[in-house]
Amino acid sequence: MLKAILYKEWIKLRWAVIVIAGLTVLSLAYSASMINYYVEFQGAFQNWMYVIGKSLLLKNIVFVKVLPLITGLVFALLQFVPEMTNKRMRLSYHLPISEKKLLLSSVGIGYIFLLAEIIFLFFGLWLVVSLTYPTEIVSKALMSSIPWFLGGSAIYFMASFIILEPSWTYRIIYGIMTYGLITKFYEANTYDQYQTLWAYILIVAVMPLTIMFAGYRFRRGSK
Amino acid sequence: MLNKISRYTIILLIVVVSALYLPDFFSMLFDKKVTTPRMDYSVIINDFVYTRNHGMGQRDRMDIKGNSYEEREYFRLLPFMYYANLDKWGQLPEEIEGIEISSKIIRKNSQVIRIAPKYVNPPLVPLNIMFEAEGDYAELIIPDDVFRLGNTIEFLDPTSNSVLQEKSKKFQDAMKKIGFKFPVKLSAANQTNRKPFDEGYFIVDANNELFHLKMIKGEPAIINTGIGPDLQIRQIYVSENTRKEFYGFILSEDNQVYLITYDDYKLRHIPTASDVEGQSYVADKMTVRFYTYPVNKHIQVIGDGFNHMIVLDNDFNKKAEHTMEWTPYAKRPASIAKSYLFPFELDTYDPLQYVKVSLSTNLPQALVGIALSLIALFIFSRKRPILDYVIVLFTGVFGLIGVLLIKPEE
Repeated sequence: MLKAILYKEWIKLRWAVIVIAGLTVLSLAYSASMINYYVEFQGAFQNWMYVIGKSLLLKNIVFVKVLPLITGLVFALLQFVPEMTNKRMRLSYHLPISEKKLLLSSVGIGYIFLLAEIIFLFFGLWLVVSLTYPTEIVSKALMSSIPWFLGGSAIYFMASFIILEPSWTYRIIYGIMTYGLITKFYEANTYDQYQTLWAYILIVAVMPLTIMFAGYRFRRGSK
Repeated sequence: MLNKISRYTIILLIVVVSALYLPDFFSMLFDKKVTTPRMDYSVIINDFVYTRNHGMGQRDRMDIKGNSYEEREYFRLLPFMYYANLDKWGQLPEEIEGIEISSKIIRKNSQVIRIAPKYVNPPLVPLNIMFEAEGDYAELIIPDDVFRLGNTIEFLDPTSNSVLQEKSKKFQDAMKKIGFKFPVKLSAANQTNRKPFDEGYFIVDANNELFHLKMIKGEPAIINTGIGPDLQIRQIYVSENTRKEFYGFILSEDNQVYLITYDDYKLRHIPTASDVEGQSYVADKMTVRFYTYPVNKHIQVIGDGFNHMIVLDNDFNKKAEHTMEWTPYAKRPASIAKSYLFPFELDTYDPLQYVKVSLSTNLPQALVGIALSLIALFIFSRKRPILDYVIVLFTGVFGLIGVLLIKPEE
């Protein structure tokens, strides 16, 4: 059964997975060329000074910040909007699998794809930054990117949850809550400022649980 | 069962979001900012003076005896601060306390340092630059390599992103020769070329000993300052000045401030303590400012609700001392009301320039808010699982919002 769900989610996501992977390569290429441009334009030493003192690198790797966010949102939309149009989700509920398992495996499979994109982006970032900068700057850049990846994961779970929720009142409440949570992942203005990452990881880790409530309400047809 | 866990997860997230935002919104709406006075010490009347803004451009200028002054009168009281204006008006005194005064003398003999929480342990990239301390030019020439200090000292060439072996070796050998023990625990410098000369780096080694490293004519010059290992150094601030009285400051783990003097690195303790409890300097919460003027030195410790000022003469003897107080945030009506309403607060703001989730509880006042929330839940919707009450019991109004918004599904 799981294999069938995997196949179904793959059909929904395959084009997005490929397009996002392409965008990842493009944005890494953009970052690499921006870094090169600044090194040429400012001179290597001056550029290092700007990168160290003025957080210039954060500007050059800006796509690493937004790409997980876009990916999370697009995956959630592609996976669950088709299910909710004309209440098609009802069909899935007739499958010989419990509704909870069904929802959790759909979200789990989607998240595995998202995680794959994030890991790809992470290693790409590592490669691009370490071409020009020493380990001190590379590790700062990688540490800075972790809250962004968590933010992308958070938006995936929360968006899936909001889409599955049948009532608009609840959707608005959840929307406000999600906005409040997501902005907390983007508060840094220089490198590696997040000190209590475990708390953020914990918050993201409980998010998949929320989806069952929406699924349950959907089945009951709650308003 | 899982549906219930799921519902409580949503409620938990609502609690987290409310605890992050609602207390701040509450303060933003209801807290009336108090105007804090700006205190100073006048050598003309030998007394403390202050200004206080009232908004709409209104400003009081007073001394602590209660006399009020016009703007130009006030400027005349503080010649070391407003000497440029006074000089232009021809009102700068020729001498103060037997010391000849002119704009030039004041400029030359003044120095300001301040330690705010955001400078205590900021998130920095641990790469440094070493100036040539005795260069051939009038200004400091920015070098073309950077160096890392950690398990060793290594100079890097930005053009090729590689280690400069020869230079690194030279510095490593010089440091090891004098007894420097890697790894480095702390290093500090004033990394700007907008200073008259360069004093290089102050570095704490693995044995907690403080070393002074400079580069003179391309060669390393390292000195064991003899400071440490009993002094627990938290941060060092280097501030080069042509007065050459001190290299900079040491902030110790127990919130004491010391000057590193040019007199063979002897330390001089700066008084920052106060007799009043809670007004002695704490680096994580307060700002300390140290002003050096031709005839005296001022120390200001500024925290939430007070400004404690100590005046020293040039030999560091205490001349005068005064504290001005205002209502601290915790004692303002909005803050008190907030502590009754919200059982706890979550915050991601950290004065040390990090993003850090911190939880502060408002017990026991918060019991009022919790009791009211429980009553409200009881009145508004009676048929509730017992766990809803437990949630409200622990999270007060935040839990109430969550529980009321997300109704249980039977």
